[in-house]
Amino acid sequence: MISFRADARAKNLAGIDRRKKLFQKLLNDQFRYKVYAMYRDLNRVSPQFSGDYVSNWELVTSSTSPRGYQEWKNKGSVLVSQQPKHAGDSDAVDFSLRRMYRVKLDYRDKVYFYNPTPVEFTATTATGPDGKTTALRPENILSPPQLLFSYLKANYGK
Amino acid sequence: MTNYYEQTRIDVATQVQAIVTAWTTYPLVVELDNDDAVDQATQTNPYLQVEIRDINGDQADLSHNPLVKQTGQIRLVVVVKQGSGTRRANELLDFIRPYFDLKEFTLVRCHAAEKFPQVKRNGQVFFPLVINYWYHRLSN
Repeated sequence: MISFRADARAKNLAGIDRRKKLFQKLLNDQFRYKVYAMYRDLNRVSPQFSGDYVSNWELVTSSTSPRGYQEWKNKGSVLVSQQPKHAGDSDAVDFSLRRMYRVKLDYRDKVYFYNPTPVEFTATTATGPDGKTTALRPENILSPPQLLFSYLKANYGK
Repeated sequence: MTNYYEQTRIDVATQVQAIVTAWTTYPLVVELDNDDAVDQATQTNPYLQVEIRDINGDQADLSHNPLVKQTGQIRLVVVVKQGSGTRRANELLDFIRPYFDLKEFTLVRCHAAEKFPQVKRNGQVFFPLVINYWYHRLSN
């Protein structure tokens, strides 16, 4: 009788352990899904000229350290060498996303979105494809990181 | 409803029109709808620029005609001449905010308005007010 109880108890404990692991896996999946979605939005909406700014977005966790600024180099692709680029152009975004998938995420980690690019958003005019230079609309002069983080806060913050 | 993108513009344009009508201190000039209504060099009174940015659309359920959650930002920027003080900009921002802050229109639903620090460029100062919005639409 005693041995039967011990056996049942061991089985129960194993079951609890299994469920705990399953729960942790679900938490991890959900956490990863949210963080990846935020990071993708951040990359897709960030402004681009050379692609340098977007290619330097980095997902940093409490257990990894940032790699620091690295210039976005042309890799021989025609698309890569075209300037100016536009928000969402895929070369720099893909480059940044490939690095994102290499980061191992755990739901207990603290996660940071980090961009060390030495860029100052001071442009007030832009030259179009026709060669004409026009004044930027006021909303294009606003700080992109502020707008992006406001968007992330509103949509993922709760 | 099928004209979701145009309805977004109508929702915002209706509010902007209400602001223009109700603002009596001076004739309020507004840049909306991708137009160039304002000559920045000759404009003396504060003016308002409005931009709607759709940012993301995500499938929200698994039915045959799933819901899609569309999100974006309404960016309102009050522009004043540099050196003319912040009073006129703040007055206009205070007037505009209640028209969007946590409001629900025909389609669009707004988060709380966020005021960002002003930006100075080329003799002008830009005072941004950003409203994140969302709506649900059916895929069809």
